[in-house]
Amino acid sequence: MSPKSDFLIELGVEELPSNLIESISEQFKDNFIKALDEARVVNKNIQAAATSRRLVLFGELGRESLSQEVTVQGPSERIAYDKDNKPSKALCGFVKSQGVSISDAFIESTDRGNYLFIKKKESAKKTERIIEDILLDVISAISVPRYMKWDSSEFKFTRPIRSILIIFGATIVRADFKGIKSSDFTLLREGAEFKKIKVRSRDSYLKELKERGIILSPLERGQRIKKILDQEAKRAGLLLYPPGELLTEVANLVESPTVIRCSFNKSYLGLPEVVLLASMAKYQRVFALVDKDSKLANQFLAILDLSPKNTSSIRGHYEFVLDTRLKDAVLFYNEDIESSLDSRIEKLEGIALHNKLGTLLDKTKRLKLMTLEISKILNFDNKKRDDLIRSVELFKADLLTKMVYEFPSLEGVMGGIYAKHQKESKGVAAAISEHYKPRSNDDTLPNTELGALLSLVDKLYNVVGFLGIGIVPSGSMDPFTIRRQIQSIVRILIQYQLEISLENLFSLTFMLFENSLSEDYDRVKNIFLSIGRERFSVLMADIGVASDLVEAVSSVNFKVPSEVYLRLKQLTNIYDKGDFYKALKVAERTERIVKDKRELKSLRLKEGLLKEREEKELYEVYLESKDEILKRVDKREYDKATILYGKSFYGIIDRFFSEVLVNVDDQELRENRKLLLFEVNKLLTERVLNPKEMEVLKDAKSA
Amino acid sequence: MKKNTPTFEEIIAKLNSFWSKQGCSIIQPYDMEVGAGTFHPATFFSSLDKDPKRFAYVQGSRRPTDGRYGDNPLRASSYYQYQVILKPSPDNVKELYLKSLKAMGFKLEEHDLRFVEDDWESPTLGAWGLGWEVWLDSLEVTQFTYFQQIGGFDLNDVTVEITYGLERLSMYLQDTLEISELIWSPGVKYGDLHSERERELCSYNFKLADIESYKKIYSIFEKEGDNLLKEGLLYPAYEMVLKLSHIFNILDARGALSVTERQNYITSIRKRAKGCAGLYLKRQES
Repeated sequence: MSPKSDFLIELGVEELPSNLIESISEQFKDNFIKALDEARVVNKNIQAAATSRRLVLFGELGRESLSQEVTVQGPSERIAYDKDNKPSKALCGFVKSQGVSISDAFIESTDRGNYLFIKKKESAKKTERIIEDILLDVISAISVPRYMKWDSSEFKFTRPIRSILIIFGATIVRADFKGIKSSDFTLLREGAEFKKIKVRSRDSYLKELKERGIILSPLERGQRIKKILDQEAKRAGLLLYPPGELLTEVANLVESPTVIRCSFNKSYLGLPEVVLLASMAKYQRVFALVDKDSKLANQFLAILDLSPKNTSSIRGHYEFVLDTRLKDAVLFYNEDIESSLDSRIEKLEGIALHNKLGTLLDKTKRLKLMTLEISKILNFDNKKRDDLIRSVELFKADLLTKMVYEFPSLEGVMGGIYAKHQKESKGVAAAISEHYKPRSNDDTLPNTELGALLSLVDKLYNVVGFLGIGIVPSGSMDPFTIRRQIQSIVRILIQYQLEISLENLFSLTFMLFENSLSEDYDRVKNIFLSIGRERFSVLMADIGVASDLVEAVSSVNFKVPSEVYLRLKQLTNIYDKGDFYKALKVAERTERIVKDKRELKSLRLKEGLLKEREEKELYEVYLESKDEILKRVDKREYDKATILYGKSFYGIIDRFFSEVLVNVDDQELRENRKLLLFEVNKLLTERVLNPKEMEVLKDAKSA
Repeated sequence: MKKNTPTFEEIIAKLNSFWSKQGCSIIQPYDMEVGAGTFHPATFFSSLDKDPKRFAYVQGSRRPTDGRYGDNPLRASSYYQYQVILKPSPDNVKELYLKSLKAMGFKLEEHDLRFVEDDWESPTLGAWGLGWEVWLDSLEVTQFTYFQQIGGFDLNDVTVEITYGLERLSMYLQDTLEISELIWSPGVKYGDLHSERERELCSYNFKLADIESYKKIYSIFEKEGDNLLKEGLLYPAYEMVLKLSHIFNILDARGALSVTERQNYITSIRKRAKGCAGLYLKRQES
């Protein structure tokens, strides 16, 4: 092994967007390691760290790259020599470009004919030079949503890079990277100045930063911030309101955090809590505090950067800024409650869902019709039906309130608050407030059934509409989040055990658009159903159900997701039982021999043709157990049905196959035997599961 | 007021002096209603120009929807921006900005200063850039942007735009949290000059502006703008864009536009702004 040295690279950048820092830092590291590997530089323990102003890598690198022999392909034999069998221009050019002579070239055959090759030794290169060579590409390969230019060089990144520091062992590497010269300093802001702090070594760099309270690791910074927030909250006799993503965000906005505590006028506590929280988090990135009963206190915490002096004036300013925000919020709230949600409904005409899908007023009106239908199908009582219809009438009206205009993230939630204010029933208000849930695949579902139904119809309308005008997700492209919304639909159907099929929901929704959709009904339906099934499988995989069992169950009678889920759950519970395996085995063996099911469907079993003992016996077992099995299936006791199936048929099927030849020449006889097996097969595979692709059977086969 | 506290007019003078030393021509505000300093032809066209440009100016800006009848010190329908345009953007532009704050009288070590990501976009001007909101003790006091596109055209030499909120910065410098209490010049307060106007403009923008008339004049100026573009009269055509933009802002404040209509207006203005940008570039070539 070649000797190694410490290295450190720092890119001094103008403040990076806080939400990108971690991804950029990771990519910087990964790209660097990849480039080192390609350049054959031994690297060890490479770590990344980052703040908004610096991207840092450090670790150990071999002092030079490993040498190696490489084979390079040149021109084909055909063009390598001219008609006098002398080396052609192509060959001469090739060996020249590789720095070898013609005598080094040799011929080897390839798939595409004979080619000239050379072998050459790539010698070891100094690691400093390699870093110089790869660094630009390493940076350029970092992918960000938007690139920018900041000067006339062709350098592109998400924010300007202003300094580069490369320390390798005791050496400062100086080079020119498209106009940015690497040098021996790091930039630190002090007041209005950017100080160039000279650095001699990796240790001196880390020491300089540490002395200034700069925490390089995002994780450590987050932990430190959490700690000082908790301490300060405790000092005030309060608790930190769970900061969620705000903590990471703030950790990526500051380099050396300190905390101050501020307060606001108690009268603002009359505002809805969500408004207070949003005002603090979104506009000021400050942290809310709660008392022991989890009620918001009129105090908040702010994280400052670079330990400024005179925090009392800063505190005053923070309080002033929040005060003006909350003053505005009070204004919005009071203005919003001056008019009812009902009075805003007609104005939804101004908001288009999509220019081919009508407005939100159309949506509201159409979904009213649909909820009426769904209420009938699901046998809702009048109260539930009326609540659902009322919720759908009001559910988008808050989009026209000032508060939602100001805080788009509060859509739905404000609707719920305003519904409560205008004395709608508790259920209606709750449903409106949670109808956007789940906002992601990780988010929880609405807490109430009414909320879930509202979410369901909202999403159905969106996905059927978008699919209906030809917007179909493909690959990683799904700008209208169709897959996610269908996944939410399936989750709701399962969680709330709604007894309704995807197909039924689809057709109810499709009809709402009254021929305004450009795509063909059946085509759209098939896309919808296939995404539905795929999302069902994804969901089941997420909760740890074996994927082959999911496939076996969902490939059969996939209509009502809540039913499929129940079936899957029951079968998962008997997965390890011997009788379950027996049932699978019976279904698989009968499946394999039957093959062409279509042909058999038109035929009737002829009792008179049953000749052999085992086939007669199988028929008897069939007649005996059939009704019981189907009864169990009807009662949705799939586990019991399956076990009974296994118990009843396993022995006789085994004997049948060892004694009876199915593929006899006599067509009538052959078909009759297949038909018998088909009948047995159907008992399980029509409505319970079809195990033909299950791993457990394959294992047995190979064993 | 403490001794040495700069008046509003002095603050402007300090910025003028600072940026003048950096080679900026100190020019005058554009004499039309605009939503921001970016609309001033010195910014819009300079960033498209192939030659280096440096300008600084105060621009009175109209944001009808932001009006609060003078009751909210941080929201007003009409206020002053200080706009700096540097093309191409110098490497030390951020430090220049910090030094300009110092020149105004700020002791930055006594403040919490933050550059918070803000991907700036002006849908009406077909413009976008990357940069930051500068937060001083959590208050947005400056917009700092590296323009990437103007009028729908990619920019080769990047222009940096620094837009100061003069009232906000002055409130800090003069240690008052009331906008009307700002000292404009000895014996003259900001409120003396602006309070009544602000209140009345709010009344007009929110309650009285005649929607139908505004929609009518909008379409008149729309046509006028198109004709001017056809005639190749660039600056008059651009002034029509400014008029359209202001009319749109009034209609918006008046709550007269549905979300769909709003989008249509924005598209209409952008189309004409792009037309002007295209014409400017064509002239540059010839």
